[in-house]
Amino acid sequence: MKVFLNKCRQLFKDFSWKEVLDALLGGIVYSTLIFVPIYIILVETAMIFMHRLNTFVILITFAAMMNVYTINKLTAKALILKKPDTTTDIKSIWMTHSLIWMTIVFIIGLLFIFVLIPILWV
Amino acid sequence: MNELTNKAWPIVRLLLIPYLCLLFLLVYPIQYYMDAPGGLAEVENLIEIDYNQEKVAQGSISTTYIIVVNRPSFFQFIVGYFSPYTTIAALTGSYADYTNEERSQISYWDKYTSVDASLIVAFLAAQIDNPDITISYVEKVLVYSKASYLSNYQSIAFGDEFIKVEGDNGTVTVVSEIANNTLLSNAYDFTFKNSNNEMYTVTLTKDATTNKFGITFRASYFVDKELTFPSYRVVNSNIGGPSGGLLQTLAIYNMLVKEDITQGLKIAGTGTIGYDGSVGYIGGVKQKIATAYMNKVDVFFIPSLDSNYYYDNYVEAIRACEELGINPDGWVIPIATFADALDYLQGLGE
Repeated sequence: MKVFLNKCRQLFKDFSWKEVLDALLGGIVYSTLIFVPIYIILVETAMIFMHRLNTFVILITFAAMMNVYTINKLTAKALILKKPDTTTDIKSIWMTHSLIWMTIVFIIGLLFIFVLIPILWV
Repeated sequence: MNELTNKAWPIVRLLLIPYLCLLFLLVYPIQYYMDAPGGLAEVENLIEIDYNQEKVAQGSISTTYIIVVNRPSFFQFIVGYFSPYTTIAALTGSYADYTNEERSQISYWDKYTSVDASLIVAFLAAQIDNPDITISYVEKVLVYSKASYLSNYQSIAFGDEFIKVEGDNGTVTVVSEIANNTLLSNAYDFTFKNSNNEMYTVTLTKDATTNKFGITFRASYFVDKELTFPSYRVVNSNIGGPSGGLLQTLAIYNMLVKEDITQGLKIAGTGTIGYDGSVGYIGGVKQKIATAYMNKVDVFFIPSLDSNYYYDNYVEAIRACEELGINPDGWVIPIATFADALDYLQGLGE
């Protein structure tokens, strides 16, 4: 954790807040463009195979985890494109960041399967 | 962001048109509806009766619901077409003119009136052996369907109660007398009561082509909760439609009587319930059979009123079983009335 925070400090020495946010925005926009059709396909297919709802929740959770990973991957790519000669270990920062968020998405998926769907369905 | 755009622009430009085509296939709705398998809903989770609280049923009684996709996208149509469990058909008649929200409203009222019908039939059946059980109900006439040419279409909602119409020979409050009292003019003042108990009057004009107002009423009985014992509570659910009537009736009856009619079995089924205890046809038989089979039910009740009729639900169920490779023996049970279902279950216990 300490190593990660040190790397983050280094990142903000090399890049301004505005540059990091701009890269993040790019990551979110492009990964959304990629994942919107995937989400629609999964939700529309789930509506037809509602008797396999849990399977589709697992697939949607997996897609959301991939979405988070793609956001971070593209953000890292955008930052490297901004400053190709940067000394910050951008890839490992965003990999750690994506792992944290993927874990959160995974937990939300489990909550849906084991808590929310049994309570709210029907 | 600009760096990513510059880097990705050649790919974005190449994929833009296929991407937009894909989105069109995914979101553009078409005039069809699709029935797909759904699940089982245990009635005791949907209707709670404050009676026999110490009684624990060994088995369960569930309604069988299916998923109806109104106006699917092209993508859903294609997926559904290749699924053995789905049925796809074009939206026709007045249903084609209804919005998805209006179809949901109709479905809600079908469910609402079916629950009250189940309560009435079950309470009256249980009352035979237990006079403590009482139920009181009143008849109301509700708006059931609206043609696209109905004047003041937006003012009248599904489920609004018909109160009166100022007819040729005075005020008419009985639906069957409307036609004979609206012959001399093209426009008449109708009074309705909405779901907030507010009365309103609208002028309805006859359509020039059909010479009709374009509204259909249906009489239903509504339980008076204040004068009914034991008290009950209906839980809100996403399930609509009248097809749970029979199973709701069985479950309510089971909550009111001392014996356990479930016999420890997982009971499901389908069929509307009439106020006289008769069972009526439903749609989506194939999907309901598939749902019941996937959920491994022990007994599945299905309406059987005329075995010579091609669309008799039991005949349809047998056809669906053949199509899906399911053996119907011993668990798909044809019934015509609530009493038939009750006799079958009580027969299992003897």
